[in-house]
Amino acid sequence: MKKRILAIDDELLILKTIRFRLEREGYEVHTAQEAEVAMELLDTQTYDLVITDLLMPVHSGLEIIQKAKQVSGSKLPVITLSAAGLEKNVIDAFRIGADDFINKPFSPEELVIRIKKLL
Amino acid sequence: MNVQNDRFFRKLKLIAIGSFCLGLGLFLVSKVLSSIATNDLRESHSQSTYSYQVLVQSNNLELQLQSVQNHSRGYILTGDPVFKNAHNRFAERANASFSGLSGFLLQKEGQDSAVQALGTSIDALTTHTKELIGWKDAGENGRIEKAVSSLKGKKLMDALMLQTSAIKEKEQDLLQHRLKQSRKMYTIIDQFTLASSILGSAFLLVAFLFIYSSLRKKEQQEKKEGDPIPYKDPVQTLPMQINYDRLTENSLGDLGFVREMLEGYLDHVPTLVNEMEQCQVPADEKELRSLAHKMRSASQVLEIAGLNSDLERIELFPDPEKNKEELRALKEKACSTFRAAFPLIEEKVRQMKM
Repeated sequence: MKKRILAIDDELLILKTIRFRLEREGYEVHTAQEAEVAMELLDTQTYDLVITDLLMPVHSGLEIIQKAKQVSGSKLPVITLSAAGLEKNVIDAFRIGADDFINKPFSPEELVIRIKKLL
Repeated sequence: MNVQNDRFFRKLKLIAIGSFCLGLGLFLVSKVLSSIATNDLRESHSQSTYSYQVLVQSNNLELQLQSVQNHSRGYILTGDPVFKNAHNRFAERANASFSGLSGFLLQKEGQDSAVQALGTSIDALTTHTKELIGWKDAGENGRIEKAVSSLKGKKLMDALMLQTSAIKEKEQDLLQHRLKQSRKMYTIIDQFTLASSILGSAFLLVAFLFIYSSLRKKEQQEKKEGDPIPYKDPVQTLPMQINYDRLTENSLGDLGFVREMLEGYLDHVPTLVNEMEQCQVPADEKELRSLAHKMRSASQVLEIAGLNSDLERIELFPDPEKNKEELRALKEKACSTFRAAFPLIEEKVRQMKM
């Protein structure tokens, strides 16, 4: 059975890249451009891993991390994506339970390796 | 022509006048030195001629006086009138040589006493030889024997030789001293001329290089400011570069996906650029930061380099109220860079479709 991954980012091209690469690696990928949609997916679906951007409009990535941890009893691994210059957000993310982070721009290859490490 | 150009040409004018004055100065100094050298040469020539004449006349005088003495001795010993006539002839010549020599010597100050002493000695010698000849004619051999045994003639001759030698030595010393001075002066002039030639050439070279480089610089500056920018391949001039190789590698060589990404970028980013252009600084600060963040993310996916730092600065700009001009400039720069890049991406997509 395929592992299910939820990717959240307000940038469509990033989501396309993640989806393209992870599907090639044999994962089932769901994507959300808005945090509200992601929250809903987390409530209704089960996932093996979440990848989320930290800086998004309306809800931040921190809220998604909290939600992911809440629905899974802290078992769902979360990888955060962060642009350079926003290190404070990364530290906050780790404080509330993020498992790993990748700086943007990221190499899809690196993302795959980090995912494999967590799953 | 603007103020900068005026200043520039005033500067060039000063340099040109400076180099001209220096060149003229060097020319005048060389000319003065050349005149001094010519004058010195003339004086040396005159001195040499004079000394040569003094030496020749002195030698002649010595020879003639020796002849006077020899012929008087010949007449006393043989009684042959040939010797007596020769004696008289050489005595006249000796007087003529002395007149010539004294004429030369008296051209210079401080020679009077030497000339006078020489004249007295010559008179004494010729008087003595004439007395001997007179005694010979009168048959007064006793007086002759007495005079000869007293060595009066020899003594007079030796004294004369000493005097002429002194004159010759003095003249030789003067000549050598003069030539030594000239040699010294020529060496100095020669060295100065060499140094001024090198210095003048170096100065002219430096002035030429300075003027040339200034004109080149000015030309380039004017081109930058006013002239139409020459056409160049936009890919080379854009600050924004798309790394297609990396994009292809990240897409595992799937060119269809690469094209899809580029099309997605063109569908999406121009709208963001339009929105950014409409943002007011500093009123729409928040929107501007958000757009910069989105544009940065999208560009990073496409491995577009060259814009990251500007967009990051917009996103994290510290005090837009205070530095609104700087933020506005950053915004305009980013927008114009994006606008310039879109046709290139469109062209790439078109090529990929073929």
